[in-house]
Amino acid sequence: MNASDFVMGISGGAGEGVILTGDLMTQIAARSNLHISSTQTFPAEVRGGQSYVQIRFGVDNVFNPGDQLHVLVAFNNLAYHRYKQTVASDAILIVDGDPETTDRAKAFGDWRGGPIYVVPMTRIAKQDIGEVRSKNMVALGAVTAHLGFSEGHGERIVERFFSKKARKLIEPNLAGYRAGRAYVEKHVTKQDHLTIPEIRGEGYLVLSGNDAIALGALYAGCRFYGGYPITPASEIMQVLAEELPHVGGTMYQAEDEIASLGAVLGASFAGVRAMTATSGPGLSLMGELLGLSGIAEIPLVIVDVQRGGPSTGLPTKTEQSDLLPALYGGHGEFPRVVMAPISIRNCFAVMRQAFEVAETYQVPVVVLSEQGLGHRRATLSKSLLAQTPMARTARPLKTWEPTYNRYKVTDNGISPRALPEDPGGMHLITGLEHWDFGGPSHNPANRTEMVQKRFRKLRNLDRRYGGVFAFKGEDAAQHLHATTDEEAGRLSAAEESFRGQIGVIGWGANAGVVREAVARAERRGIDVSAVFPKMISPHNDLTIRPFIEGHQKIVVIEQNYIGQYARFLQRYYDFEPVRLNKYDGLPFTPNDVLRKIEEVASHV
Amino acid sequence: MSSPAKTAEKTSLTPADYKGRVKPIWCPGCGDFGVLNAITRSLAALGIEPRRLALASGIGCSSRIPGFVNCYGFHGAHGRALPVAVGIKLANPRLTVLALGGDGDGLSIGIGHFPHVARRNLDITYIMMDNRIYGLTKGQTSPTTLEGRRTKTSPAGALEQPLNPVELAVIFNATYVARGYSANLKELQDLITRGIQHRGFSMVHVLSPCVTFGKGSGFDYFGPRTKPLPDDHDPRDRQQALLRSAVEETIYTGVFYETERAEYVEQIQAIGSGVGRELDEDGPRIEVDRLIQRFS
Repeated sequence: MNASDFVMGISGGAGEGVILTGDLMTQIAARSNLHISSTQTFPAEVRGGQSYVQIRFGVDNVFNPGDQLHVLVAFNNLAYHRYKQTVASDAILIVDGDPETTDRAKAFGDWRGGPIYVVPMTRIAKQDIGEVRSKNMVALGAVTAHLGFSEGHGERIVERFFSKKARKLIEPNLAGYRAGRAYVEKHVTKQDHLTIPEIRGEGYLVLSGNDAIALGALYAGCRFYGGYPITPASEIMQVLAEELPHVGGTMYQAEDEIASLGAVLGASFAGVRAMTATSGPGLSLMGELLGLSGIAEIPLVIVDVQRGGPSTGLPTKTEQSDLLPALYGGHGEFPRVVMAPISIRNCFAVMRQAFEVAETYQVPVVVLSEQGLGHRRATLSKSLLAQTPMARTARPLKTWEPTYNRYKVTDNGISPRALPEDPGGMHLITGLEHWDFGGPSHNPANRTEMVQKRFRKLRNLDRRYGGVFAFKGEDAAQHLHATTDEEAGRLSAAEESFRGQIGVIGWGANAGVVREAVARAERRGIDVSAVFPKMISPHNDLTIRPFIEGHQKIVVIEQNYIGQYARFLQRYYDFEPVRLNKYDGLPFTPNDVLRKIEEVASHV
Repeated sequence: MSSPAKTAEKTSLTPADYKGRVKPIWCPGCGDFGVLNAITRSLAALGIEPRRLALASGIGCSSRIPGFVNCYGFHGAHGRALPVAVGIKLANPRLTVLALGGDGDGLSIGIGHFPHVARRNLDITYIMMDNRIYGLTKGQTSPTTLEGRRTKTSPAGALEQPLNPVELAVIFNATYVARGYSANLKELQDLITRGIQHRGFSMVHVLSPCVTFGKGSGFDYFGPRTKPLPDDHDPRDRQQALLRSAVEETIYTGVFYETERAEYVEQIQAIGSGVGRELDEDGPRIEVDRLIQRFS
């Protein structure tokens, strides 16, 4: 156990405030200048079943919520039994119960960890506070006191949270938090060495993947959001509902996903950067209008926070099974771009690229996030918000010649775009095949020319925006890209991570566990590196080819059954990857990946 | 309930200024010609500049109309005229936005949008051209096809009760509901003009016969049955509007219902939204400190 990198699990009955405890815990850590990576699982129902939050704390940045627990906080016995197997040998247990009457040998005889602290959370909440629902705040106080977090950070965080709900809730919850701390300070003798280090700093932001998408959109100049509530994407809409009015933008909750996308296309047509976010079922409904965006060349950004499918599937669990629908969904053929952020920080950045690409190339861009990323939280430097320049999308009116044609055929396929209110730019956009001026056309030669014009827009797009994030050993992630064949040649000749025994390729949020598994494997003497594409489609051959050719064995990791990305890659390369797939709704852990790497290494 | 902002920009525009680059493909004698005429006359009378005019439509014969009008036209997807119109208006409230489509587009595939746009009272004008048949696909039953009528998909006669768009619009709390007849140009122009001037969601139902597949609901059917609303009709009386929209033997035309309610854009502008397309760099800025506070 190491206070500079440890993992805490908090579990209790759904409705006991476990998720909230975890949220506040992450904020307290961020104020204490500790990094966190946290994940939560909760049943789809609001009450019933068990809730669970896992938080990893690090003095240095942590990129995933970890494996084994070093601290288990159990709100009840069921919680203890569910997570007791996943602990490290020196893990501490902080559990609700009566310290005088609890028979530790009987109740926790099968505990495999270290010291056990029985804290009367329910009793304090009931008897001292007079409000049993403040039990989670008692727990928060007890845990933060035990680990040595300063009292003041927690007080301010608890007060801020409840002042947003109702003033009368502040007092009992603050009292609970203080009572939890006081109990530990007075009655608990610390038998472990887990005390957080004092670190100086200005604190961190705590963002979920969904927060980061919303803020990324805001900074990217998005000023219209049309959406329909759906788990696990709704938080994007909720953040933008609060934030867009501050910048003159509009959040519009439509009657369904089709109307959401219709409104987004209308807004984009009218000259405003516009987006929607949804999950699998919504993406299915949006298929027809996705194609409209393609043929009518209306810029569009759709975020799909993937969940277990098909149909209603696993609404609160993670999966990466919408890659093929994102790449090929909708009828007919049209150019599109698919990106998948690899981290919470990247969620923020990817939105800027998505809006830029959508507007420059007048194409739909699908951003594939996933529940495991959308609901995960991480600490990020405050400079992310303080120093990222905001994209300004204002454009003055432009006067167009009488010969203006909306779909003018050009060398790069991109046609000048007049916006409503521009003098002389009046035109028709239509989902019918059309002449260059917008009028409907069935003419075979024109059809051929228009299809080619639209697809021409994708040419070289991957060279400008693509590339890979590469992971090797303990090194920080590197963004590798090449804009020309010569650059690509030099890159692949020089790049260490492009060759070796085992190469891991993944996409999306698994980068956080893969980078750790790769580093651990290398410490065990295995020659392994990994890449994640910055843009999935158009495919960036310049960086993926040398990686595949430079490794003896390629492992493709993804969270689906059929290996959607592996199949996609097999369209381009004649190779048989080892596949690491999972479709049980739970995210990969670093150990899952490490075991696979070791298994492959033993056969190479 | 006319807004001064909309009448102030009057210039010397004529209906010819609204002639679009696409030539109408409708069958000779189609009722939709009358609607197109009425629309361009209304626009000219109101002096709405083509560059500040957006027409959004769905799919169907009538939905081709944005191409025939000099404007920013959006001929989108079947049933989705209203959502697109909403997006355009919210993104740029300075525009005059019309949503257009047929009875199949608006009452069958797209009916899910109708009540929601109506209840929001967003300032757009929805013109529904009703020929009681699917014309573009050559003669199948539509949601307004009369019970018992034989069509290609109801060879033994339609079994369903037809929907009544005027009645629905009143029930959905549209704040301006009118019905016109494409053969009565003067009245239709007036109804559309008042609809565009109305601040809020206005719905104009137009009886617009199909001369090719509209047997049984052509001009010969509507002509003798169509009458202006009685002189005593009070458009502020919701009950009366509902009763008179549902009369079967006579098909009334005129303004059935008109009322005043907070308009959607005005409401969102009150909280800071709805600035729309920014034309200069001096728009609102992100409040960085507040955001950092919120997320740390």
